[in-house]
Amino acid sequence: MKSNWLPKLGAAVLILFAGVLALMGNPTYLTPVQSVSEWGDMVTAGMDRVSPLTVSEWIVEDVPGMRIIDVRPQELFARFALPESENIPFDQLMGKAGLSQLSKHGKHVLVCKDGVRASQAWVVLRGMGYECYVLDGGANAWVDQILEGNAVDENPDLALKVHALREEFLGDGAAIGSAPPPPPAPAPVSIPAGGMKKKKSGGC
Amino acid sequence: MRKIESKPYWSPYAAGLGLGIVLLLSYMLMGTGLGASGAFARGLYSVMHLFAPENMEAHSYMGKYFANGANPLNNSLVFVVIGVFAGGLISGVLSGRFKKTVEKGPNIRTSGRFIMAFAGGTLMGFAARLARGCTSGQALSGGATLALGSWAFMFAVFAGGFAAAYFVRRQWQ
Amino acid sequence: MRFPIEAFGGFSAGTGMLVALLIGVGFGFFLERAGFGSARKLTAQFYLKDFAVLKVMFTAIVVASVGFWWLVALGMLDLSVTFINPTYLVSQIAGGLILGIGFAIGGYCPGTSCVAVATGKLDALWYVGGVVFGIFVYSLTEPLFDGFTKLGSMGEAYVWDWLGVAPGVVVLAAVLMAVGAFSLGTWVERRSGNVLKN
Repeated sequence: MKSNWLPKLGAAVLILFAGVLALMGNPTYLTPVQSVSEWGDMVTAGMDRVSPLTVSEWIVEDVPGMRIIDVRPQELFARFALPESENIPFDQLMGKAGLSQLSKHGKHVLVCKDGVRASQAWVVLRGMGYECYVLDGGANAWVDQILEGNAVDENPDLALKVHALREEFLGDGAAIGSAPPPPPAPAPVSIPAGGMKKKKSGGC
Repeated sequence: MRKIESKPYWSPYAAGLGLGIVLLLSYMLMGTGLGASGAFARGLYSVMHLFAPENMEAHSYMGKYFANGANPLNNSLVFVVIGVFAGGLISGVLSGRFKKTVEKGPNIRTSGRFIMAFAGGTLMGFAARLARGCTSGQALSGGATLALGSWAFMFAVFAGGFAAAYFVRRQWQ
Repeated sequence: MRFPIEAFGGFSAGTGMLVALLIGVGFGFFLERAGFGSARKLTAQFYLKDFAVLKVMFTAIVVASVGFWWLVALGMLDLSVTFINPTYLVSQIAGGLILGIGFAIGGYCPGTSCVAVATGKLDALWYVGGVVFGIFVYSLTEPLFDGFTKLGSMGEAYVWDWLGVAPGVVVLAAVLMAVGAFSLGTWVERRSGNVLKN
């Protein structure tokens, strides 16, 4: 406590940095992608996609600010859709009218048949600074893993809970029996199956 | 050993600066804050799992730690807490503060202090699970990231502490 | 450089565990240096005799906060893959109150009790036993009040978002609040003259 000037200097530095920060306004939630190779790194790290189980957990938990955007054409969306999803077909989403419906404040789950279209949308939207994730495997995987219960989960935290809640989704998806989506194609992905690791579980 | 005077504590600002940098590094490297009670829970659950594996895996609250054959100890928080023991021991030995003692005021017997420590620990273990974090996981980590609920938690902790302190003053004073 | 490094796939599993261990060592080291291996030092806060708890905690919070939000502002830290404590107002306030009461009675918190055990405090062993017992009780009874713990759920809510200002404004307010509280604390400490030195 003898060197009293040191804490004061520290406080002054902190106030200076906090003051400049206060003038900088609202942050972007996402780090901008600066080089082309970073796209590959992000996909390798699995930051581009979420597993059906994670999405089901988000739906059940009613995660604030989460929206499920289905980029398939309207007629396919009408035949089968994820609970609480909304339809913005791909061509619309890439236009101004579609983009204006998104928010830079929440996260978007992109759904298509098998994940391919949604992945293309992901590159565009992520590049523009929207937080979004591809539903890994698309609607096919949703039917397979959640509705038919064939979940092979990379995120064990969720499996049990979702298993118990399957019936809830089955109620929602009662129509699929009559109009089943095309059977899931064997996934020829070269990247390791995995998907975005759920954020680290909480401290303490 | 006992005759060696232990060195004084650091200035709280110096220790706080060090702690703040460690906390920031934790976010930069691991993407998560610091924590302690979570590791205790994981340790407890894996011991319970030895005795009743089926019951644990089927439990609605604890089951998720074992879903699909997961091992609750395979988590970075567990390693953080092992590190905390080591870091505390290193600092304690270097500063001559490693000593078998009981922390208490002069007006309470050792057995009384043990009972109080156990009771207070029980309350905190319960509360840390309820609040989804303790002083490190909520107040420190959530405080730095400006999480709304963590700031509410922090004020609640100080309120609870000050309210209860009067009734247990004989333990310390 | 983009942070957090682990989320961007920068660590192997082994490296990740080593990093966690080293961060824990730093955490424990500074807690011990602050004197938080001593329950008397920790609880003196509640009797307005020693403000070390407030000073250390808030110094750490504002230092980390300034760094954290600067990194976010520079676009170097990705919030979407960083763990932000989700807000469940009801259980956090209820849990905070009980935790505070337990703090005054038990004399430690879970993190500091590790340091206390590591430096030979026998009461901390009993405290740790209590914590484990408390977790045991909670975990077995949780299904009974699972709904209660979800009340006031607001997701990853931020103080600045809630107030409708930029993060920096809240960081600045926190720094100024800390400086004010520290000088007040030092003033009270001088009057009671009871700071534990070692």
